[in-house]
Amino acid sequence: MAATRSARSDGLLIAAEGLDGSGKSAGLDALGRWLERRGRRVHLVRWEPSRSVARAAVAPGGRQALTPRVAALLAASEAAGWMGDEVRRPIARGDVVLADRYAWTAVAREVARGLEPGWVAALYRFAPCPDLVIFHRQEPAAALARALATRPSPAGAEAVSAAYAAFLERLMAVYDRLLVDDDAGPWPVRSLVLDPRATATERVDAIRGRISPLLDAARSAGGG
Amino acid sequence: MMAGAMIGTDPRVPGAQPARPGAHGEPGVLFVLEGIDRSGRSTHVRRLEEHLRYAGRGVTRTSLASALLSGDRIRAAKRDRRADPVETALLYAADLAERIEQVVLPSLRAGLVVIADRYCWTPMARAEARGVDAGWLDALFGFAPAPDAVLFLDVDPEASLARRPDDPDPYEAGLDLGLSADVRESYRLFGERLYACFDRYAGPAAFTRIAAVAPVEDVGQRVLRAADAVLASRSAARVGRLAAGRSG
Repeated sequence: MAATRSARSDGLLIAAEGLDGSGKSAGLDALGRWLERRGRRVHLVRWEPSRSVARAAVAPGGRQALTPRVAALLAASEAAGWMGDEVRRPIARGDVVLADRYAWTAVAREVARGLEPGWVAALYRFAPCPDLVIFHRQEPAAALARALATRPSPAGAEAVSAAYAAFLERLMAVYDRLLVDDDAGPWPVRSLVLDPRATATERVDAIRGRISPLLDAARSAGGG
Repeated sequence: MMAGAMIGTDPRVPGAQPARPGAHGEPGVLFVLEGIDRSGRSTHVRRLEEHLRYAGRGVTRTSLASALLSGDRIRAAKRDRRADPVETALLYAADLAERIEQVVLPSLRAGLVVIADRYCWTPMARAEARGVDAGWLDALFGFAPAPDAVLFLDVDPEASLARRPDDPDPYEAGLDLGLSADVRESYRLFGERLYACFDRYAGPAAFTRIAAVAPVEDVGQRVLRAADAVLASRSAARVGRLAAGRSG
C-alpha cells in the first residue's frame, strides 16, 4: 500500500482515537503546542459526526432510507471529500497533521451499529494511514457517566443510559480488536495506548517519547 | 496523484470473489443491464420491461443515481470537475445500497422481476477509469447481491460515439481527467478505459455479452431471448424443487 508515511515528505499524520471524553482533544492541543515550539507547522483536523447523515435523517422519507449501510456510505463519502484538503495536502507540504478521531473511530462506530467488520475495515482504506495512532483508553462506565452528566435534562436518562452503555461496550470491543489485529482495521498501523490511570505528565511523556523518533525519521527522509 | 492511488490492493477483502448468478436466494429475479453511455441501454430496459409485463410478470425498475438520499449529490459531483473520484464512488455505493434495501430486495422477496438500469459495475468502471483502486472498489460494492443475469450491451466507444450527433456529457466523457480538450476525443479515450474495465468484470460476474452494434430490433430480440432463458431456467429449477419436495 502506498502510505502517507514520512517517506514521501517530512509530513506526519498522528491520530488520537478513543471514546468521547477520554482526553483526546486536550492531549492533541498539548501535543500541537509542543510541536510548534519545536518549529513544526501543525494542522489540526477534527473528524466530526457526518453532516450529510444528520441532514438525511430529517429529510422527508429520510428516516426509512437511512439504514446503517447507507449512513456509513454517506459519512464515508463526506470524509473522502475533506480528506484531500485536511489530511493529504497538509502532509504533502510537510505539516504534522493531528487528527482528533480518525478512521478507527469511524470503523468502531459502524461495526457497533451492526455492519460487517471486514466490509467496514475495507471501506476506510481510502483514508491515509497514520504514522501513529494514540489510543486513549477509557472504561465505558466512565464514558457513560460523563455523557449522562452533560445531558441537559434527566428525562429518559435511564433508557438512554441502558442503550448507550451497550453501544459503548460494543465500541470498546471494536477498539480492543483494532489494537491487536491488523486485519480488523483499514491498514496495519503503529499504536500507543494511554492508560486512563496515568497522570497527565506520564501521558505527555509517553506521547513525546513515541513521536520524537518519528519527527527525526521524517526530517531525514524529507531531506530537511 | 489520483486519490485512488493511495489505496492498495488486498486479496483478503470481501466482495473480491466472483458474483454467483442467482445467489440472492429470493423468489424474484434480478436482471441488470450494463453498458457504456450510448449503448442503447435505456431503450432495451424499456423494451424488456414491456415484454415482461405483457408476459404477465410483475416488474420493478430501478436506475442508477435515483436514490432519495444521494441522487442529487451524485448529480452535483458529476458537474464538479474537481470532485474526488473516491468521494463520488462512495456516493454511488450509497445510492446502490439504498435502492437495494428499499427497492431491489423487497421486490425480489415478493417474487417480482427487478430490472436494474446499471448496477455496481458502471460506478466501479467510472471510478477505476479515474485511477481508483480496483480491489477497493470490489470490496466497497461487495454488499450488492449477485444478479440472476447481467446483460452487457457490448459496443465499443468509437461505435457508440457514432450513434448520436450531440456531444457527450462531460463527466461521462471523462473531461475532468484532461485526456483531451475535445469532448468527443476525450469520450473516445475515456470510453476505452471504461470498456477495458467492463471487459475485466465480464468474466467473474458472468456477464451475458450482447453485441449491441447490430440494428436495434436485433439487439432487442437478443436481450429478450437472454432474459427469457434465465426465467425459464429459474422456473425449471423451481418445478424441480417442488417435485423433489413432493416425493420426499
